Amino acid sequence: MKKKIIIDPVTRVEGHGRVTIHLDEYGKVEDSFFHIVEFRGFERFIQGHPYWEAPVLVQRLCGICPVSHHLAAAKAIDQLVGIDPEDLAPAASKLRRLMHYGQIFQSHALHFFYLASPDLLFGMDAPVEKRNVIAVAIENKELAKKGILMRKFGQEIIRAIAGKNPWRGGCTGRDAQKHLTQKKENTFYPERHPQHKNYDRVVIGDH
Amino acid sequence: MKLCPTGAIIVRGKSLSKPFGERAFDLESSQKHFHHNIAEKPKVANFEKKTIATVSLAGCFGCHMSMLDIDTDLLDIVELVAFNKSPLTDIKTFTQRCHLGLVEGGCCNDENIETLKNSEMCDILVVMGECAVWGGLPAMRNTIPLGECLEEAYLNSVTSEQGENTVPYHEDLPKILDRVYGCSEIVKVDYTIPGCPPSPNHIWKVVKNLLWGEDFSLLYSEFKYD
Repeated sequence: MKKKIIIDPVTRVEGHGRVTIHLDEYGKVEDSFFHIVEFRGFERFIQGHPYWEAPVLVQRLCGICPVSHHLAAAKAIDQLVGIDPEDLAPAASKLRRLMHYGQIFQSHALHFFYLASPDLLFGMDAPVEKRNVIAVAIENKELAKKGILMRKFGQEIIRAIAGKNPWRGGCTGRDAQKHLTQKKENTFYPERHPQHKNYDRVVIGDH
Repeated sequence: MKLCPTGAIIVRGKSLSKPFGERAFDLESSQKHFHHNIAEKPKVANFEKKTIATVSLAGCFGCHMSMLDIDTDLLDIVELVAFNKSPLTDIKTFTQRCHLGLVEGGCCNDENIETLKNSEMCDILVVMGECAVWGGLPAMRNTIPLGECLEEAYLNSVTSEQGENTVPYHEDLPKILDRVYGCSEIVKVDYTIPGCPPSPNHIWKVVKNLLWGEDFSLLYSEFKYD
């Protein structure tokens, strides 16, 4: 009798997923699939809305990487107002890049410390109750704290440019100019304002 | 600049010295004795560690990220709660009855409905985020026939070749529902936390109130969405 092994849901990944392995009558693997089970239909339902809403709507595709989608939508509508995305003013393109780097930093820190570190610290064969970020936080508080602060640093960068995290502007027009003030920028540089909390020092560990 | 003595007409940038939500009044609690931070242990008579379960149905994980946005307070929260079935842990099915269930995301396929009906293993069911409360952003496809959405995504996309793509249909894939339902249309929901995403303080204050009865007050800055 044909059997199926179903791994549902795939946990500790950034998203949804489901794995099914089809076995034949002898118990050998015949076929295996990786299913993405959620379908939301973004491509169709954003049609008909004002074009400046596109970055704001599309951000909500993903709560972990909203900036990527925001930037993609911003680039897509850039040409509507007559700007080639490659051709922006240097400050604008630098702001966009900075926001994107902030997101890369926080998303990678999230995956590595919150989602993948249990496997690396406790091994793949650890008992199920142990393979999560809570066990890492209980066992090795210093490491967990550093990982959390790394993610916080990325989020703070995004927040400084976008105004609010995770859903905000930051890529288009007036919005891009108004949030990153000089004062906020100084909080990221320890030598300018030594008494401000400087996250990068904490991340490296010499504070 | 005061155009109206009752304050009904406000000129942006001129009438108020600080915008709504950033005034000193908004950043402090009006109830003076509820100044607690998330990481403090609730001061109740018999305190015991409780289990919560979280799930993300058709959500984008923004609400889960917001839950994790308490940053270093997480190290203190782990002494108060244990996570049972959650995308953050490897536990795939309920191993015990949980005290609280947090649901994110609405129902868009029949597997979501099954998962939601499993939530009767939780004593209290809390839905968080707009998607779970009434459908949220994915519910924007409710006015559009499902066939058109699938066509646009799989057949007419920019990178597809005409005639080479098919809409996925497989025995293992869950069937997509005709429209996106909020969780309250499927099961009885006890509490809702609105917001897209709700602010982390809001979520954890509600969780601590439901599990241990600790009073809380929401600041305006944690509850305004614009």
